Amino acid sequence: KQGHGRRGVKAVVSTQSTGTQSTVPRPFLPRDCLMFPTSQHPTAIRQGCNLGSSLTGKMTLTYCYWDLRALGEIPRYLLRYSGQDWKNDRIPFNDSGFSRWGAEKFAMGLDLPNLPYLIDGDIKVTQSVAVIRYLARKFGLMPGDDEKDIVKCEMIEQEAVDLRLAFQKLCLDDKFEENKQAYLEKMEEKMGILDTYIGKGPFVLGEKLTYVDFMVFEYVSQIRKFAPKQVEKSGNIVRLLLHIRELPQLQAFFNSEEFKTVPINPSFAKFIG
Amino acid sequence: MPVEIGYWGIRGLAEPCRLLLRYTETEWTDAVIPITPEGADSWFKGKKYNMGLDFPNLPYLVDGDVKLTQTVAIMRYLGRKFGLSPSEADVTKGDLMEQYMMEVRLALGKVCYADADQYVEKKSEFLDKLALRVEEMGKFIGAGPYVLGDKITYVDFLALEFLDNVAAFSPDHFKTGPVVEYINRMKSLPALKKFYDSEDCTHKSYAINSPKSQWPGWPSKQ
Repeated sequence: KQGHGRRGVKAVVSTQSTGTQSTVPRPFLPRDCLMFPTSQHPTAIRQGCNLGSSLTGKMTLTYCYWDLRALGEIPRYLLRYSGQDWKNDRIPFNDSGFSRWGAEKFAMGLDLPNLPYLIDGDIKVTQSVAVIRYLARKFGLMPGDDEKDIVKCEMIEQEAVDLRLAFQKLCLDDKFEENKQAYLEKMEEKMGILDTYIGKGPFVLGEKLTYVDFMVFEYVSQIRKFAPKQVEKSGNIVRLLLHIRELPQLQAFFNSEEFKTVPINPSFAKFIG
Repeated sequence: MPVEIGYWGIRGLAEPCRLLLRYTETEWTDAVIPITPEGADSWFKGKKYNMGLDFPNLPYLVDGDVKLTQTVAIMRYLGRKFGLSPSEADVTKGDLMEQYMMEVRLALGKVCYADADQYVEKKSEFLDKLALRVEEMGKFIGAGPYVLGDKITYVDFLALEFLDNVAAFSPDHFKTGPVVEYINRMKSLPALKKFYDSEDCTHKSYAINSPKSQWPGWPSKQ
């Protein structure tokens, strides 16, 4: 018979032969609880959803970003996909988080300090695309040596970045209402061109899954939340999104609290998502 | 057929590509689209959707069968073509500096292309952060000679041009130090010095941004 207690507190375990109970101390599991106001803070809940990683033992890979999707979610997808142990470090986008980042920003040994950052042993990277490509090399999600595949991949990478930048600009725009229509028209045009290019897929490079598929998945998913009718006109893109959505390595994440609750943008945005 | 770069008659996002090609001292085609109504028509109503570009945009590169858009994709392609890619040990550092330089240039772009009623505020935000950026870039580049140390790469042409743009926007931040020394070193490379010193150097006539922007960055009078 197994009892359960709060983490960090002794668990009650029964021995099999005699049925008598003895107490066995559980190892204390660090959760940076002191960083957050309460363990019920949404960030704490999402931080605890360290799916695919162990909370004990030494973790040499840390990925740190705000507790948002914004432009930091793709490395998290690559890490979830890989099955590798990693620390999902999330900084709440509020005063407490800003002061934590303010204290840490110049103390992490980052050459060009910013969020997101990745620390993998001795290697420290900032700039989301640089982090994405680092993980893509690590996890075999690069396009390979064929020059045709490389240029295709890199163009889509930048097109995806452009999609995200335009969407972000609108979401944070003081003139959101005035600029919304023009944004939607331009976005539909770009989405249509991308849709034609992707064709039957299933992935951007056809049969081969690469990091740009995760970029298209995440950034288009964000835009889809805002403008589902427009995005869903692009059948090939929607099909690619479904392929990524169905990857077995990601199912634990899609069933998690983290996935269900994490916002796209900060709370001051005109569209939070 | 030589490599062709198409872009407006400004420096903007294409100039790193042009500078890299000048450095290689190979023949290339500078397909300039004049910044006039006729020029705009020739692109928007003429070439843009008729060139076989998968994602019609400027700048574009045509190299035989290869047709590319997106500055970063073009620069990486030229890096591979001309042996100007980072070494394997430096790929991540190269990506980092490439992205950082793009971020700096896009941040400047946000100021220059702001609406008139937002320009002063955005300029002030940009300048507030600039000293720190110059300092951290200075530490990264150090004595160089190049951004990634001993080897010149395509990233150096992004760095040279974009730092030069920011220096024109705010000269006070670029009086001395490793970043200024880096810019001067790059401009002194023989193939580039020839360009910068020439009578018809485009930097003597081209704006940095669109003439319609809040800060076109026209060359200062000699």
